[in-house]
Amino acid sequence: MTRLVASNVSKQYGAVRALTDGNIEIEGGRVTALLGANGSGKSTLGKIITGLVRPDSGELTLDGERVTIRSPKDARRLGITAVYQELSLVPHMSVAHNIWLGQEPMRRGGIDQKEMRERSGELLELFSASFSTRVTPTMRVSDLTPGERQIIEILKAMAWRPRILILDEATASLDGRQVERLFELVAQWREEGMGLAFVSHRMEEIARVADRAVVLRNGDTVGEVDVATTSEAQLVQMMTGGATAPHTTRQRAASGEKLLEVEGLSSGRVRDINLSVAPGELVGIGGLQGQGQASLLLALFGAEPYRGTIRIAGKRVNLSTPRRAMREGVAYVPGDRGAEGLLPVRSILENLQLPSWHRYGLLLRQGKAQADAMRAVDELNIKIGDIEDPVRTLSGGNAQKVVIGKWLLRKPRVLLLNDPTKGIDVGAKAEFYALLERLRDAGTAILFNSSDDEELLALCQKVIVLQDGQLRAVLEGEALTHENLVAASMGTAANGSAGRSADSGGRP
Amino acid sequence: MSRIRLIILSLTLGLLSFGVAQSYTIGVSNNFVGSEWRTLMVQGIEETAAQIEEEMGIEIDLIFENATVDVQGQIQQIQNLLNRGVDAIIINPGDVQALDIALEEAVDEGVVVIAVDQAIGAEGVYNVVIDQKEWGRQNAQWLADALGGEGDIIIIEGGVGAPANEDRMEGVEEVLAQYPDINVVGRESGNWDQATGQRVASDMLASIPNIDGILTQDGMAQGILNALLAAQPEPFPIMTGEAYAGYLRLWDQARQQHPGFESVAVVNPPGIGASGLRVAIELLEGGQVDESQLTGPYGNSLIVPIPYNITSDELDEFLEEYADAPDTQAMDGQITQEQAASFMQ
Amino acid sequence: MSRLGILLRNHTWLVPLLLLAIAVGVNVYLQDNFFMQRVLNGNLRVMLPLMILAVGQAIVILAGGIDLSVGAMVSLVNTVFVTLISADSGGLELAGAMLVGVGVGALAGAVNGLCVAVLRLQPIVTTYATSFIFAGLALAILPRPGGSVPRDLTRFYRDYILEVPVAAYGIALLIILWLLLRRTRFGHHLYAVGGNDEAARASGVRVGLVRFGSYVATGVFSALAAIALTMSIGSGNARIGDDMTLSSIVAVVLGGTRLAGGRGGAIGAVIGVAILSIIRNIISFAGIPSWYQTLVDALIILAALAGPGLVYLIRRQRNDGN
Repeated sequence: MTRLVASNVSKQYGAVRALTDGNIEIEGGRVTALLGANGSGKSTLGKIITGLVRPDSGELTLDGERVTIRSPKDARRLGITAVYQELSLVPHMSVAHNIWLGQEPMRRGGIDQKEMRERSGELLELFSASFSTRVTPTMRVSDLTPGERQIIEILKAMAWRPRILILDEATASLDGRQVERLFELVAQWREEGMGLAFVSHRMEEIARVADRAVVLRNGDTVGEVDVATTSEAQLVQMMTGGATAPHTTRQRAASGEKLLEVEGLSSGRVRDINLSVAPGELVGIGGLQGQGQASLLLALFGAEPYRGTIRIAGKRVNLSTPRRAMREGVAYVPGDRGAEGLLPVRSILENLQLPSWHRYGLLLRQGKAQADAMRAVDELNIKIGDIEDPVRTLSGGNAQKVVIGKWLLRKPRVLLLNDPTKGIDVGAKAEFYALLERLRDAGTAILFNSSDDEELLALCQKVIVLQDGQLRAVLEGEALTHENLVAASMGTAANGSAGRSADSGGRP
Repeated sequence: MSRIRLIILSLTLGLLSFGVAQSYTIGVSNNFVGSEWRTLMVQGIEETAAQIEEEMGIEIDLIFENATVDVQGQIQQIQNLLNRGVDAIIINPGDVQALDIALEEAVDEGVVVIAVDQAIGAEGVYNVVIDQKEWGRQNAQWLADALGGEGDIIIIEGGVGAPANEDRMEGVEEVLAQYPDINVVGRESGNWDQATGQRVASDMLASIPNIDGILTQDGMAQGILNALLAAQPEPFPIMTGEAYAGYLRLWDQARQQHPGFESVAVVNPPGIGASGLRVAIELLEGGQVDESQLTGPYGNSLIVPIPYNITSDELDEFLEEYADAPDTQAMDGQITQEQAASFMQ
Repeated sequence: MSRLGILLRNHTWLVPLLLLAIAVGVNVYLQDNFFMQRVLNGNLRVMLPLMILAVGQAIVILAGGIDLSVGAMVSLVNTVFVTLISADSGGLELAGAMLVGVGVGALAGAVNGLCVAVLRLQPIVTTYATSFIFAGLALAILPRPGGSVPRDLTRFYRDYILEVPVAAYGIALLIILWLLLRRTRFGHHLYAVGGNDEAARASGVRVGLVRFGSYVATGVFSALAAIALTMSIGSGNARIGDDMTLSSIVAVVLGGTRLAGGRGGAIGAVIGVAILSIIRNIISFAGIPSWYQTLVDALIILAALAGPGLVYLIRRQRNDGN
């Protein structure tokens, strides 16, 4: 029987240790769930197994033999294939071409279209009952629903006839019927001897489909348990480690007035969100990554169309463009500094002043603009050579400060932050937190999405938790604990009485 | 005794008595290097300069500004020639009017300016050109005669808007106006380019049936005849051609396949550049243009006669003469120094 | 990074200026009367129209676009301008015709801007297509080359004010105009849109409007180039600008502007035109045979395009070595 074992693997990105001691065993005829909170290292471990990431140390063995997996291609050759949530399909190509991309059946030097269509048809047959309309091999992927595309992604992996299949959030965009069908197939493949690894943010699914669960916390594998005999509360407890100190830095109970009020907001990946932020309040957005947090923030910044009501300082506003949102005093700090935040080839000065040039007259008063920018640089303690240097010469932390600095120059009323501390070092983070607290104390309403649970717990008075685009929980005061946060992220009932027992770790 | 002999005599005497030769620096500005015709034009100037040196004992220092340039580029060419102190400029102008100012500046500095191939109106500049209208007329007349005054023809003309094309087509239209039974059933531009001509002709042959004749110009005729030989239409039309060795060979081939095929090649001599040089020498040697001979749109053109036409009767003779010449070899002709002198008072 | 490195990075036109200095040096070596007032004037007035056009092209390239119709716009404005005036037009009539010419340029630019910024069509294909529209209009306005311009106007263009050629004032004015534009909000937003349009949008920049504006500005500069050209050649020709489009792009790239936008500037483009022109002189005075000239032209274009890539490659290799 097939058996893939990763032992003591580690991975470091720059200063960040993503995985310290990862261990997992995937065996034929078994479904192994991979569990962990944000930043636990579970996705890094998954990527190492499938060749997307090369480990710094540790060992992989397949059927007892040591293997090196340099790329997804290597992994596939060894019979290991993954299905990712981020789709890897080419929208303008047909279903058949997508499924067979990279391993097209050949005949006499050309692609055997007929063979390809027939074999695609057979694969599609697996899910045929769960499609609302017929999906044929010649249809273009761009014409399919997200759920159907996800299925094509799964079929594409199956076309490689894997011995080991990794399903990473593969159910996220499937509807109930499709999930049912997938689980039936998973059971069938397991019977046939395939080894499956299953990553999901839905605890309920893990309970249903997995035999074993490997739990990671802070970059270490902390245990492997039998799912059937372990309660959800116990799993959550393993994921958090149980130690939750009450947070004292959170202070300043918000006054009754609300600066930002959102009612029934739906946009992109989020549905029917209600929330409010008071001036001087720092509200966190939690949950596993990719549950619609970015969508929510972009809608509030006018960068994504939305339905629902948004009020700022009691006034109903229509945020159809970023310009409008800015005029209402909304500022947005993106997580992806490269794509949305900065002009890498332009100078620090220009980046800082980009949203504010209108304040410097028709023929811009460069001197004043520069003085104002310099003040922001000092205030934020941005370490720069010259204010005329291009932003791309700055380190991650300093670049992120520039992104915030450009909004501070506009003195926003509502500040939206989308995972701003990702990939910046500890020192810069501390300064950044201090800055956030200063802004909060100055009366800014802050909505702060983070993939770092610790950060949310340390900074926020209130955290809303999103799962599958829906608001699952609002955690405040005593209820704002890591356990509750993780439990809500996984969709299990926040169980205040979850055992405070000691770490049930212990590796098999 | 003609003036020229006098000059030679006096020069020879001068040489004998003082031991110094008269010497001129002559600039050549050519704005396009992409065609064999222009290459032959430039070569002709070089060869003729050597000949003049030998015949007349004059030293000629040629400076070539020879590149594919736009109008501003040719103005730069002219300025560079002036800055190098030329005595005369032979120019094939890329624009009918845009170079006037730059050339008039040259004239003001006492430089002799001769425009060849393309007539321009700059003050003090003399054009040495063939009569393009006459060139068009001779082609059209031949076609009308060969068709017996009736039939359907298509016209594939040169660069629309270019003066040479407009002048030629004017001559063509004059002739065709006298033949009401000749119908022009299609007219397109082949842009004086063999490949374009071939493509345009192929398209027209495919869409227009029963073409009796094709009227075209040099620079495209080989391409068009190639298109004919590929399409093999019925009836196989006759056409006006071009005086290039390659065309004559194709013509011979077409004639063997279709005994009824006829053509004509009216020479458009690249030697016009050399003719211009000869006129320039006359002017540098103190000649004054005989104003009664000046014609053209600006009244400053000296017309060089079209050397000759080749018809089916002369084809064999020319095929033999140019048997070893490359396809791109053009039939040529230039005026003699005597003829140049005859333009003077 | 060294001080020199920083200087070169922040002033992208310094390297082109160095190239220009070298080119001028070679030219002077081959042509000893290069600095003679008359020779200098001749060179400058040949360069000016393309310089103006290159500034326009630089604006649209900085904003992340490209305009293949600038040459056709020059032809169009040239024909409009000469059609509106005659050999004995007075000053007022001339000024009016110039104004109309600039208006036509702005309108043509607006058509490009509308297609690219509002209808979101690909700039290369769009402006290639509109170039045929503008060229067709020019041919309709002036089917055969001709038209006449007051002698005073062409004479003025060739004249001197205080011993300095008029064309030199034109170049100075052009640079001042650019520096002013550079200092407006629009000027800054050009760079932002070209540097990263997503980030610019997220910063509240009206990306579509800036893009539209960049094409209009290019149309206006094309019109100004056409007016300078008309003063230089004193006549109209519907195909006069045909060859200028490519030269303008080459000059912009030669001047250190990133073809992808966001980095560089119009001063570099002005220097780029000067380099191209001087190199042509060098070829001529060095007596390089004509059949090499086209080759040299092509090599310059290639070098200009490959230059930034080569610098990047060298830098990367050095970094890898470290």
